Amino acid sequence: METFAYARAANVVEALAQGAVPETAFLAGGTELLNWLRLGIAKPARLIDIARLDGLADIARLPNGGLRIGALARLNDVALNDIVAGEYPVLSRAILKSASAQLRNLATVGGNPLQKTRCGYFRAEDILPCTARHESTLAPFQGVKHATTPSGRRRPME
Amino acid sequence: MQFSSNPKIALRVNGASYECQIDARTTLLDLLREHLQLTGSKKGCNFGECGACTVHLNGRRVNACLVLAAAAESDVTTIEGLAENGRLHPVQQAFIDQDAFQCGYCTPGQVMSAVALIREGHATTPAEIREWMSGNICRCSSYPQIVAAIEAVLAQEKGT
Repeated sequence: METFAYARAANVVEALAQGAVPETAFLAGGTELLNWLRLGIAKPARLIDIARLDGLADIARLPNGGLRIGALARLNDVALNDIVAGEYPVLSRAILKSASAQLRNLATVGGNPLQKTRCGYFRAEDILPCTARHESTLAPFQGVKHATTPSGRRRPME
Repeated sequence: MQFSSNPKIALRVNGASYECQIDARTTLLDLLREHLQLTGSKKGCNFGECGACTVHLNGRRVNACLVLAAAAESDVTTIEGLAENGRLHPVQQAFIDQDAFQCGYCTPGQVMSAVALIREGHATTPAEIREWMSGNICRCSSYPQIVAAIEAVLAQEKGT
């Protein structure tokens, strides 16, 4: 893991201003980011911890119907919320089918869609010539055969 | 906002207060094991998959390998903090009674997870116990005995 400087944001305005500085990453649940840091997928110079910001983890009904779920709400808190469990059972059950109880206690609903590919090459501990991980890499010229996936992405083959 | 690559942190672990200066990269797991000499929490995968590092952060079970120590300034309970006055926690005792481990490496994490599970109230059927314990892998495959241990504690609680 590369070195970085850590700070905890006191409020949203400050977090946004500091977050605009290049080489800065936000830390919420950390369940993805810590692994990216370990694998060298992310190498931020600065980390802003936003997990304790007030008012961003609330789950509340909207006046016009519907539900507002704060980005920092933890997955288990969303799934087990009375309104979600009672009126949005598919969402609740889908969340409870993901990861583990421990992970869902950390992972935030806002961080969840920011996860990166689960591709083994991308996440390999040994740095493999993977174009998604190293955009400038010339993998095709390093003797690695590529295949085109149905989604149109090129992936290395064995 | 104060950025630091060597933040000074304060947290409570098993009721004791600690203040330490750490490398910002230190995970809660490494803080416990390498700085506080609390080696009960185990490093299995270091990726949040095996559950051997499970501790309670403000009463909630989490993978200590996925929490930065600097972000964990709060109340932590580890396996070392479960016993009271030399008396094992009922879950620890039940693991012994039910023979719920073989090599023992995953056991601290299993026990911490089980204690939280019982408190969460999710453990009503064996199937539910298995589902909510699925974040703790046991390569010796003591799963039936682990479920039996948790059921034994629940039966004990009901009886009293």
